[in-house]
Amino acid sequence: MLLKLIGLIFKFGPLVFGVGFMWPLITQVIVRAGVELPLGITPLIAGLLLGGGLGLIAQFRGSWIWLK
Amino acid sequence: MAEMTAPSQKELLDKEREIAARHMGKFPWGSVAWCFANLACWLALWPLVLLGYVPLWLGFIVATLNVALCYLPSHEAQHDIIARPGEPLRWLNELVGHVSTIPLTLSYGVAKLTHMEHHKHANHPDKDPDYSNHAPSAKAAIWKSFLNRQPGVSGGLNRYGEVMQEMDTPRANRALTVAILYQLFFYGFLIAMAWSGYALEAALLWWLPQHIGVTYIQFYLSWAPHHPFSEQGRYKDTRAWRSRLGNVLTMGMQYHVIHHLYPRIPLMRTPRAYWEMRDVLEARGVPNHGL
Repeated sequence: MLLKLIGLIFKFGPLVFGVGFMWPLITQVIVRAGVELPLGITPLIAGLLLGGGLGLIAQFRGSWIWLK
Repeated sequence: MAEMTAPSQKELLDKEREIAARHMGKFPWGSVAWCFANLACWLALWPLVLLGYVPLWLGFIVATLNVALCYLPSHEAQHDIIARPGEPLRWLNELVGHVSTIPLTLSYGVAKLTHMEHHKHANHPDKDPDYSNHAPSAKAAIWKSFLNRQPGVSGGLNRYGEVMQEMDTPRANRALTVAILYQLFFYGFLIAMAWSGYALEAALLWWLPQHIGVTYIQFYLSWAPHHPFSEQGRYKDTRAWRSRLGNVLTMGMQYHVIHHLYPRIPLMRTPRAYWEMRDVLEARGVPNHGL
């Protein structure tokens, strides 16, 4: 059971990292920088879109920067 | 007047071994102190930065230096330079090997096994675990180091996991298990810190320094001394070279040829060993590339 869970974490590692780390990181960067976001988007939503988006790209493309 | 004759291969080898013997078996106090001082400094950064005693930007610079500097003491341990199996200080050798690379999140078992393969098969496209660091220029090497870290790429540190699986020995499997635990702890710690409101601190004290440190280590410890990765065999797979950054900033790697010839010479003695051996190496056809 534990091994299966660890296997899953590694299989979806980029997505887990995108949501688990990049999301709060980007959110906190936006808050500390005092950036005004358009369309009433909150830092938390912007962090989710950017961090989660990067995680999705890394997960399915195999690269955080598209290039391999 | 006596006629000058070129020394035979045997005479050259005897001279080479005599010089090497003078430098082997010395206890590397410097590397042991370096390991613990570097680790203590990096660990101390966390409370100092989180409690506001040290600004985050300064913590980031120091942490990056700590990560870049953490590999070489472990490298001394990988070659049993601190103490060989059965010697009284063997525990210290293993302790340095295990704890030194914590900031790099590189497990000692994986580092040692892959490094021994590197020595056995240096520059072999399939058998050298570090071969994926090859690149035609310095700029390309830095870019390659970054690309090799992408999740879908089989190169750099990603290659080490594959090598462990290919070995499939009890030792390799154990090393791989420890490496997986290291990675779980690293990413778990980053995520826990991030959701506790310390994402920037985690990013600048560990995540980003780790990326910069890996690039620096792969560039100076792998690409530069083995460039162009085209030849194999003793005297051919590693080069002496001169860096504009000098000996300290390249972490002694200008003299890496000595390490591949005599891996049990401590890092801090390789410059002296090189200068004593330089003529012998030249006679053997080892180019000095301006060194």
